[in-house]
Amino acid sequence: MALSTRSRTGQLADRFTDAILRHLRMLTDPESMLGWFIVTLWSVLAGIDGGVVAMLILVGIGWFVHGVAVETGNHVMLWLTTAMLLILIVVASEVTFDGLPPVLLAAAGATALVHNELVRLNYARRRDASIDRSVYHGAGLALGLAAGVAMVGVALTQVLSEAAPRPWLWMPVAAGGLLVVGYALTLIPIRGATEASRERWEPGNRIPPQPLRQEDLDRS
Amino acid sequence: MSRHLTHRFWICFFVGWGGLAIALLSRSVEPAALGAPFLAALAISLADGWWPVAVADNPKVSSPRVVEGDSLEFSIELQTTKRTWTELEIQLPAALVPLGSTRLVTMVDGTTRFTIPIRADRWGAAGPEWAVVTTRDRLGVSERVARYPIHIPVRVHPTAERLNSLVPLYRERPVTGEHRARSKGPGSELAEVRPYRFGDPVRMVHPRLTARRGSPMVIERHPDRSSDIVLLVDSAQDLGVDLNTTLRWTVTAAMALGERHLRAQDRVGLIDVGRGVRWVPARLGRKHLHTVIDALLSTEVLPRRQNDMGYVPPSKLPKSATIVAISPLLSEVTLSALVDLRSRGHEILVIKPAIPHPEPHIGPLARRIFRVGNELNERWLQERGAIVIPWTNGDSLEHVMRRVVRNLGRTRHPV
Repeated sequence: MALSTRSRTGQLADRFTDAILRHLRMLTDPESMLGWFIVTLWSVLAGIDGGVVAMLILVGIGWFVHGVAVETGNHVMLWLTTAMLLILIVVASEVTFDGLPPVLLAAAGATALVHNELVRLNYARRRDASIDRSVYHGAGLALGLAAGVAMVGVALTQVLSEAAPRPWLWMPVAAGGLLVVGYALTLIPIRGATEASRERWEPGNRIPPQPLRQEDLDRS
Repeated sequence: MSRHLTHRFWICFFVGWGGLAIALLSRSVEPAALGAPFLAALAISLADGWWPVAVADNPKVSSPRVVEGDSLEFSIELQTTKRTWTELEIQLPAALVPLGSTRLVTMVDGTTRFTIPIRADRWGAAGPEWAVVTTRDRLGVSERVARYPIHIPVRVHPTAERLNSLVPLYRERPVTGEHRARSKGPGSELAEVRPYRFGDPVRMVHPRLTARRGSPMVIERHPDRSSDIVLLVDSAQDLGVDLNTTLRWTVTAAMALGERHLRAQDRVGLIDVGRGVRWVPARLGRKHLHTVIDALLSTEVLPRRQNDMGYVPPSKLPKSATIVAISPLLSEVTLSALVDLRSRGHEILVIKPAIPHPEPHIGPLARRIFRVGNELNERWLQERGAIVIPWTNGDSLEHVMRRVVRNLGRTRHPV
């Protein structure tokens, strides 16, 4: 029964100070700054045509949703943030730019994906993870590749669509993709699933200490 | 081990195919273009391979035995077949404090060894418990989590002092040791000088004394004997903060006493009364000292269960053993075990560590009731013939042992 000597007020003050410092660190992390920048950029671009008030409201909403996502690391909040960014991109494209070309839209969509990765890295860092530089390089490379493939794909499809001016060319892509994902979703988990697969472990969750084995008892 | 698709997969899936579906329905390319990076991410991750594997192996600690406050290093190897995004998390017990981050996120390619510096803050026997390895594909679409138990105990010794004094001999064992016996016989300690009596062996005559006194003189000596000591550790509670806790003082004293008595050729046994009773039989030797110390380091407070054993089996104790209990005398289980041992004829000596001051918010009445209850327990035990020596804060154990030696002759009770 170890009792702490710190008074409750002192403990509360310590926790409060820790929380403030953690938040400050979170806000000044490079990935956090880039995340804020992406959200702010699309909020401003989406709202700039509706006046200062509309723009400020959009920026406020964007910051709030992004802040909650970064703070909690919650998957639902990440969904919401990505959805919000996509909506902002669509609004910016339609209202501010009067329809962005598809290749630029693909690049804009990639920024939402980048933002998603930034929130994830920021959340890992906030839970005292030591993140190696190679992780940033790897993530940057993979996301750049995804964006590049998407832009080239969109450009190619556009060129082909001009020859046959109907979007039916997307049909085989959609069907093939659905087939691949259907296979991945059904067969791979069933084949590889173990009994423990249903147990979800979250980083930082404490696993109970393992029970002593007979060898340990013999040793002591 | 578990593996699953992450939230990223579902975002990519819904945005990508949602964009495609809207593009098909609206016959415009823009929604598909917006979702294209998400689809590309899915396709690239699938081509790269989902659920990459990383195996944690060969855990090591730089030193299996350390003293409180010492630093050590824990290292573990991660093996992958290809370049993989890996998150390694090491779970440590409260006694071991990490000096860096225990969660490392890195790209592993082949075999890599990771090292985490640790400081041993509190005594005990507890090593790193688990290594949790999370691997993701490059775009974080699929995730595999594997938990590896680590079977490396780190024994953290409390800073113990070296004792010179011994618990005085109560019932001797006919084996040479360091205790001076009350009887006379062959030994090193002088008992008396007396004239030669009829029946004494002639070789007992001391030539120089005889020459000086003019009549045959004999020197009598006390033989050096050993004894049986059983250390009783009360692990029913641990009061105090940080390193100033009753259980820590108990273990520290037991270690010092065990080491000193084994050095004096005494047989030393151990009884731990807390959750049930566990014991180490009384034996001799350096190997036994390690057994006793390891058993003491693994002492911890555990909640009692209904059918836990509350007494020491008589066959497990030497009949002549002196029981040296180190206990704050708060637990009824310990008190009844001590009274039971006393009624079996063992001499009981209790070293009572000081109970740390309670928290300031505990009222004076509660403190008084606690103190009175503790004093009643002590008196109750003394009435049954046990000897209780308080160990106040700041006193060295050597000082306490000298008080024990000084007072024991007066206070020893016949059984």
